[in-house]
Amino acid sequence: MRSYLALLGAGFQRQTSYRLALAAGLATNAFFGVVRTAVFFALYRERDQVAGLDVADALTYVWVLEGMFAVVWAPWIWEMAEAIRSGEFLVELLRPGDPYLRLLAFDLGRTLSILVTRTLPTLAVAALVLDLHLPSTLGRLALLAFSLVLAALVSFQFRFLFGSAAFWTPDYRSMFMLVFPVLWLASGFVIPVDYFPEGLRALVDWSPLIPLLMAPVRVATGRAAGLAVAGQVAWVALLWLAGRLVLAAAGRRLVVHGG
Amino acid sequence: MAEPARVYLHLAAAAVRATARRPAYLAMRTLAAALIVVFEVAGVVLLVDRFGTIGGWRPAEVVLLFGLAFAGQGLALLFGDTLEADKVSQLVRRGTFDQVLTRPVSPLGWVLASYVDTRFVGRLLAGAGTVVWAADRAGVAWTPGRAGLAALAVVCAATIVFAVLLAAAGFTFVTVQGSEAVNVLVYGGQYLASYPMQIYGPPLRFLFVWLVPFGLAIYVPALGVLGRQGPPGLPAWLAWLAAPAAGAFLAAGGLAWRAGIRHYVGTGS
Amino acid sequence: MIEVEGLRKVFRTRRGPVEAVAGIDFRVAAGEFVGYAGPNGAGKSTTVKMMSGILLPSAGRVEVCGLVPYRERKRLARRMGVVFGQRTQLWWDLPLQESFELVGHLYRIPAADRLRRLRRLEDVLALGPLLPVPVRSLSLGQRMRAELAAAVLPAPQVLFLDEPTIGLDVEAKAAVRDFLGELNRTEGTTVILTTHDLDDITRLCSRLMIIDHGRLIYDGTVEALRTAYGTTRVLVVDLATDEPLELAGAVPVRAEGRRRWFQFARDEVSAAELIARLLATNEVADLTLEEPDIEDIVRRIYRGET
Repeated sequence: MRSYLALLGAGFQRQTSYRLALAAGLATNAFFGVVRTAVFFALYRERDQVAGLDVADALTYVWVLEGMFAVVWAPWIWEMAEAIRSGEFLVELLRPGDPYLRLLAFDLGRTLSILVTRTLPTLAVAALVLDLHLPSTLGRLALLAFSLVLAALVSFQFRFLFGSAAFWTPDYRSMFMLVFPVLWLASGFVIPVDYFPEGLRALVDWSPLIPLLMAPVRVATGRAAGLAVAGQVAWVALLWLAGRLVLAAAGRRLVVHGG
Repeated sequence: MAEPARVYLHLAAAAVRATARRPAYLAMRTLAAALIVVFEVAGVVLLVDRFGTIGGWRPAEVVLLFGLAFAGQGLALLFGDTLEADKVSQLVRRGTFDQVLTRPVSPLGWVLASYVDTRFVGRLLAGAGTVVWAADRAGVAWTPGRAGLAALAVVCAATIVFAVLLAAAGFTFVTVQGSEAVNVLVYGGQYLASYPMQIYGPPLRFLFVWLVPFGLAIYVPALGVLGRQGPPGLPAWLAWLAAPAAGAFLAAGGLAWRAGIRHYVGTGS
Repeated sequence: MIEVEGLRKVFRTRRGPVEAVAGIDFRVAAGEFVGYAGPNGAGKSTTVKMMSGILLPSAGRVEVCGLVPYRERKRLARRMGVVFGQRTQLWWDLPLQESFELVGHLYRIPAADRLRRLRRLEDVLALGPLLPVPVRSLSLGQRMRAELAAAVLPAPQVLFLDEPTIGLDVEAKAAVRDFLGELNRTEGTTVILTTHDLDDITRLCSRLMIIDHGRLIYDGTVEALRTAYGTTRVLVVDLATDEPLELAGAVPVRAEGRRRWFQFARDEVSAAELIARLLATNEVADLTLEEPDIEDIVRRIYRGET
């Protein structure tokens, strides 16, 4: 148990050392956030509510998105895949303990670092300047924090699943590339899923992409917060299962093919 | 003594041949790049449609802006991607840039012709396709003048993006580190210019019309294409300034590049 | 062909200014084959960079082929060839043939000339079967031959070589040396060879320049260097049986099992005499003579020993 916590700490430290990337990242977040904010102000100029969201909800979405961007689309996504192709990953599988948990611990350490150094400051500053719908009670704030961590977990699980394609093919990026546009739109990173037409929205609401962004947004704005968190927990469990199955299959493959 | 363009074309052709070894992968990357444009635009359509208009502009008109911006960005990155700060930083750190300087060609030409990322052809074509689709939906009747304005927008936007990359590359010779802040201008600028400028407050408007003139490059010519007037302060005739502004910006970028090279030669790697 | 006067280069680093080249003077005439040696960090590559126009000198004058390198970089690039031992100037993913074509385009070599020269180079360097092969698939020895061909294809007046034989096997080294020697003799190409390999120098260079700590500490022929500074040689003896051995006129410097190293001064006793003495009184399985090491000589020159 202690070793996993140590990995968590190591991941946290590693990510916080990237000061320059942090500064650049915050600048990017701020810029896009400002532009998106202007867009929603313009959209809501003549309306109060659309699809059940008012302008404060929309702005909350914008700044949760900017805050969570680097957590969900972590730049280190292909590290594991590269380690698999180079053979380094074999060492990881042979070590005692649970490789999945180890990867998770390290990754979570990194995403926690981003949550602390990017997500929180971004949300805090935005909340000071704009009128957002952020939780006002301690309990609901804790729920939001929990939701953010769950989003980070789901994001890791996706990274793991996509990266594990490397066990089977050197073209692991191609699959992701073709699917990415759909992921991008369906996860709510282009526009809030709530604005999708009814049928499409109903479909997308059941996808494992919701826990990444829309769920924390819903927890923040207090719209179906409980359902959102429940959905996140359910997907964490399902993706965990998928991850373990994949890892087992990969392990068998390595034994047969020798890495 | 300037080299005939032929030399650079040969170099670029060699770069394309080198990547053509894996045609399926290339096709996938290009397709994926086009799909990103399609899905992003789809999202915008869904969004603006829900509200009816934004800043008085209908969804199809906003999509026209998106198409122009994506096309311009794709065109610039098709060649300018080699100038990305991370790549230049690598050239410097590995000492490969020394070899570039031993060749009887301009270092800029060599770097630009060293790699052609066809992925951006996908972006360019998808952007152009979006422009055609959006114009149709918006009821634009194409005339030579309007087509010219659309082309002007794409070329000017491309010039500005390219100039930003050029300047950043120049700075990288001095700092040797990649600069992610450049992405703010290249990708953020494209995003900002994809919405009608009147929704932005005066500071943003000033910044992106007069300093990094994306607004002049895309929004104003689009006014002409759509037959719109434009808000006070951004009349349609400003389109005449688009080319000079982009040109001036490019010149500035070129100066930064030159200064970067001078620094490199002066101090070594 | 090359004129260097009072050449200096000072780098500004975090630890303060570092003088990489501290005032160097030399002249290289057309057709000379010059070896350029010195310990790592001595300033060799800095000098070469200043000669090829990649680096701006801090002070002093440099002229190559009648041009000031940093001012007329492109014009000079047309007249000069460069080969880096560790890095490639060829197009990695394309067949070798295409690299030669591209060199032809770059240096504006008329097609007929290019084909003629290429045919000759192909013969001399045995490149024929390698032409359709992508450069990344070539062995180091093959690639080195290809690099030389590509560098020489535009018929440069000056050729700068940086460790061209590093990592090559004996056969490949011989091929490279033969080619360079031939090139210098028949085409009169001026060659500056930067190297640590003593054999390269002794076999190819009419003249040797040694640089250390940014200063030229030797500029003359290899033989003169040896006679002037290489006063000691080492006789390595493999005895038939493990027994103590003393040799008059030589100093034992090392012993490992049956192998003994003896150092002697060439002006006190000849190798032949020493060997005769040795064979007269001992059973010897094998023996070799070691010539003084350039690194040793450099160190000793720098320390002021003669």
